[in-house]
Amino acid sequence: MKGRIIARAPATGKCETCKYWRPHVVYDYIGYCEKHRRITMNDDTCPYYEPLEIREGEFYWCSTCKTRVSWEEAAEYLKKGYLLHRGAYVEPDIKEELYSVF
Amino acid sequence: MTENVDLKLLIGGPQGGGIESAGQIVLKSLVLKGYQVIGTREYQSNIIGAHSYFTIRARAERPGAIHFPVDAATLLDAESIFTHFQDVKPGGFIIYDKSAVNTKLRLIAPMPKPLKQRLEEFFKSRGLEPVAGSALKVAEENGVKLIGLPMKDLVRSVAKEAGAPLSRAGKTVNTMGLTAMLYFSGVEPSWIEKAINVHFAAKKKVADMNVLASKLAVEYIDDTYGGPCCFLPEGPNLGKEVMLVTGNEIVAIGKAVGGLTMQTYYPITPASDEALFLEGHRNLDLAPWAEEALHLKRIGSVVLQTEDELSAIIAALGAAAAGARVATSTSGPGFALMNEAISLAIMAELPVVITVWMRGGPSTGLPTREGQQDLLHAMFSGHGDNPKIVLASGDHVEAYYDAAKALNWAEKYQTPVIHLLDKYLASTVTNIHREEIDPLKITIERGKLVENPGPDYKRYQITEDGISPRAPMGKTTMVITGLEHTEDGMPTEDPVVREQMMAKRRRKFETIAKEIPASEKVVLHGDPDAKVTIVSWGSTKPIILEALKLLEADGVKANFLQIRLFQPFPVKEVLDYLTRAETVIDVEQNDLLQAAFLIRGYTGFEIKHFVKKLTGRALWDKEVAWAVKRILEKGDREVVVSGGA
Repeated sequence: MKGRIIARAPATGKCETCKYWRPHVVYDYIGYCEKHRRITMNDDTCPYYEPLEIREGEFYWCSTCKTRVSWEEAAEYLKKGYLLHRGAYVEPDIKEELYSVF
Repeated sequence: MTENVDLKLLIGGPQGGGIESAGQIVLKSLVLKGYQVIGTREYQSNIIGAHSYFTIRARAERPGAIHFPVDAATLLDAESIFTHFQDVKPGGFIIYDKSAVNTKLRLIAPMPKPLKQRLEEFFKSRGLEPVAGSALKVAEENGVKLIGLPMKDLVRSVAKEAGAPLSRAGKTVNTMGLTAMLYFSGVEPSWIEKAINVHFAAKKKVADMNVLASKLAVEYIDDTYGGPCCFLPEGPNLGKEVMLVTGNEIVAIGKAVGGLTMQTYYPITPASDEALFLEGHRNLDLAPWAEEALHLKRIGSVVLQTEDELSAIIAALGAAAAGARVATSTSGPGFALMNEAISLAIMAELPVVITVWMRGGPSTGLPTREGQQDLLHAMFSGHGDNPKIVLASGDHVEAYYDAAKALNWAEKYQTPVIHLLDKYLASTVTNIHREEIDPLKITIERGKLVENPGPDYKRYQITEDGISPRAPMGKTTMVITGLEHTEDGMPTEDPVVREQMMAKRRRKFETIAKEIPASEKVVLHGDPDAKVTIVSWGSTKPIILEALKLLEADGVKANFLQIRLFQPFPVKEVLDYLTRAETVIDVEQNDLLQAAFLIRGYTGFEIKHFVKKLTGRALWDKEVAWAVKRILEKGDREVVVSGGA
């Protein structure tokens, strides 16, 4: 069961604050739209836009600080103007650019 | 004209953001344009997002070292701007993403806190807001030209012009950044396009997209900054066929050409890429000239990834017992796990090459950074009296021949050969000409291998040189054991046999010391009559050779004693060279000064001056020269250098 909504991202109408959008883990001006199932730019708009809701018990991706955060932190960060998302988008072939680190 | 070219470039960005490809494309562009290159990568161990960078140097003569400040830098994100804004020399330029300028320092999560604190203090002391734009402003005040690229808009343009989704266009940010840097430095777009096509040869669509991105970056530079700042003439090696290889790759190639039939490994940085390269080329068809040279239709080996490092070496020893020509590859922590089996290999007289790619220790330490801290570990690995061979390679070409030679020595002397290399060599790319890695110079020696052992065959037959005939397991009945044994391998605790076997293994070690030529034990580079001798080992070789030139330009005549073989230790040769010099300076990348410790132990020669680097970053030619001069001028006992981000 979904947790209680404790905060909402400002309704800018742009992808970067939409609940369906996950920014690229490295270059956060592009990202994946779960609604359209395609990559869009952070300032694109569409009729399905819905601002992100921060819910109790969930984890979020902060693209401002490039870190996964808890719902409490996410709510705090929203107040500071950081950009929060339900997750980050990692492209499938990113491994080609990563060294083998063990 | 080209003799004056000495181009130093840097590309920094988030790990996973195409920094590796960008570095490779820059290297390829400059090689195609006729220059010799070196490129080395620094990366974090956190996989994605944190700062990584590639430093490149190009000139007519092959560069042996990199150093800061660079002539130009492409800094693809805010963390790169904060990390490198002081690493570009006055008169140079920085390419940056315009959208990064307002990024606050405190919001850069992957940046190490101590660096963040140092930078915060820096900006505070200058009354500047700690944002990326302030860092750029400082660079500009230092005489660095700033070239901002609107990456987001350019990505949109690439997608639009190519009719491609943003997911593909978004991956061309690195190409636009490197193109801007090369083009502004005077490299014509045609060379960059060629390099892109070579780099993405197997991916036509990706190549086309990147060529388009490169063109858009050139157009932007032309429209906004009026074209390139300089002209880079064609280099003297234009049209020459070269290979661009990392240290990992050249060792793999050396092993393949040297007749390796099996490699085992467990993944570990910075060793894995060597085994992965062998795996990727395990069945390699040869070019006609290579086929003729090697008398082989194809080369290849079995590559086995085991569940841990102890399994890796034990599997290798099993294969060696069966007659395979084997190696295993690892780094410090993995090598620690192999220790027990090193003693087994010595007692059972099994040939194995252990390629040790050193990194910053102890423990997990700095897994992706440079270190020369495993020399003593290699020397004293294993338990019991355990003579073995320990050699260290200084550069790519040496590493190629050493990889093959190590296989020969292992089989000839039926003993483990520990081949010491390090992270700097592993991840440094350079151009190699075919004649430098001539397969005809490599002969495969397998020692006293007996294909058809008779009924009286004794695996551990006592011989004058300490080396017994070796038959592969399965050819005859034999016992191979880690217990002390008789000539036919049967375990025994008989005191007389024990002494005989100890003496046999000692004689083998003496044979090794006698048979390995002096030229493969130590090399004296430079003027033998110089009053200053720098002594070092491993990947510091090309860096010190560059430093010698810088010292000579400053009127200091020095030579360089490179120790190649550490076990058996070349006592006479080392002592001969060191006693000739008035001042001896030891250069190492470890805190204990491990080579100096061994020199003192084996020869009694006490080195009194030391240069060391402990940061895990590449040693620079400039800092070696600076430290040597400081020692000569002020008589310092120890100088610690620490350049690099």
